[in-house]
Amino acid sequence: MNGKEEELKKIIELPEVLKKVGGDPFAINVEELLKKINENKLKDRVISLKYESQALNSVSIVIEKQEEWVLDALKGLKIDPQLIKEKVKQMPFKDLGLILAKHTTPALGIKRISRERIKMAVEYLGLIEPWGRKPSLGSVSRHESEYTQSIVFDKKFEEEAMEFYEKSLKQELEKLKTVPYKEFIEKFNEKLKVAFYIAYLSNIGVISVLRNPLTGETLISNPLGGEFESVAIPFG
Amino acid sequence: MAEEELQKKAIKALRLLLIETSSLPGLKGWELKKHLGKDYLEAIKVASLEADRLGMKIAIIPDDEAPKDFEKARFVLMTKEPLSEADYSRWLRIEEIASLAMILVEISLRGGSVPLEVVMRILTEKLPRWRVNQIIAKLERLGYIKEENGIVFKDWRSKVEIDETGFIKDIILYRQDK
Repeated sequence: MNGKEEELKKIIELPEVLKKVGGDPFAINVEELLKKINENKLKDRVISLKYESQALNSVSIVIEKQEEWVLDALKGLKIDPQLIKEKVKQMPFKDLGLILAKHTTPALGIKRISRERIKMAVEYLGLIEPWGRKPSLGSVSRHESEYTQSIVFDKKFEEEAMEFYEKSLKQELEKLKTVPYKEFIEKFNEKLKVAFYIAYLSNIGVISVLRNPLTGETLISNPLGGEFESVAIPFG
Repeated sequence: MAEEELQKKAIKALRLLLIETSSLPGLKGWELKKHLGKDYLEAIKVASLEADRLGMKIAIIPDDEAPKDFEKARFVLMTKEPLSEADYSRWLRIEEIASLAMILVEISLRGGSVPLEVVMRILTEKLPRWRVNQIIAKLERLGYIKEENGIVFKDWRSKVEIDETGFIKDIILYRQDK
C-alpha cells in the first residue's frame, strides 16, 4: 500500500476511531481532510474513485457527528456552550474554586511510613545535630560515609549553603512563598549537594521543608515555626 | 455468615480502605477479597452502612477495561459532604482549583475530551505558561486529569469526587453580583 492509499484509508477509518475513542468531533479539521482527499488521487482511476467516495462518506459522517454533538449540548444544557465558556473566562478564580469545592466529595486515605522509610529517617536523623550544639562527628560516623560528613560539617559547606540560599532560593521564595522541593532540585546539576544545602538550611531554621500529607508533595517555604515542623526527606 | 463475623469484617474493610498501601487511595476488589474472603462484597455492604453513620461513603470505581468486574474495580472511602473552600486549599492553590474547574467545564462541553492545545490556550489567557505547565503536571499527578496523545480526559479522581452535573449547573446559574 502506497502513502497516498494509506492517507485515504486513515480518513475512511476516522468515524470508527471517533466512535471508539469518543470526545470532540470538532478536534478533526474537516477542511484539511477534504484537501488531503484532493491531493491523494491514485493512478488507477477506478480505485481512486472508490477510495475517494469512501473517504468523502467518512467526512460526511464526521460532520454529522459534529452537528449531533452541538445539538446534544444545546438540548442537555438549554444554553449555548460558548456562553458558558465565556462565563467561566470572566469568573474570578475564587468563585470558580468555591463552586467546584461545593460539588467535590474527596477520597479519604491515611498514609503510613514503611519500615524502609523509617530506617532512612533514623539514619538521616543521625546527621542532624540538636539546635545550637556545636557539630561533632560522634555517632554520625557510624551511619554515614566520610563524604557525607565532610559536606555536612565543613565550615565551608555552611558558607556555601548560605550563599546558595541568598542567590537561588531566597528569590524563589519571595516570588512564590512555597517552592516545590522536587521541581526546584531538578534545576541543578549537583542535586545531592543542593539537597544537603536545603536540609542544612532547614536545620538551622532559615527555611522550612514541609510535606503535604494528602498529595505527598514536599514544599520549601520561609521558616514557619510553631506547629509547622520541617520534615526529614530522603535524598534518593 | 454470622452477623457478628460480618460486622467484624466490615470494620476490617473500613480500616483497610482508610490506610493507603499505594499511591492511590482505597483498594482493588481482589485485594479486599484476599483480606476479607470470597464474601467480601457482603462485608462491603455492611461497611457502607457503618461508613454512612460516620459521614462517609464507599465508592466503587469500575476498571476501564472490565467495568463489570468487581475484583478489578477500586473501592474508595469518601466523605459524604462536599468540601469547604478551606479544605480544598490545603492541597490545591486557588489558581490550581480554578484551572481544574476551567478544564472540567471544557471537557464536559466537548463531550468527554479536549485537545491539550485548547487547554493551554484557555489557561495561558489567565496565567503564565510555566505556571500552566506546573498546574497541568500537578493535576495529572493527583489523578484529576490524564493526557493521551495530546488529548486531555478526566481521570479517576474527577470522575469519582466531582459531581459534574451539579458543578455545570452552578456555573450556568452563577451571577457575578452575588
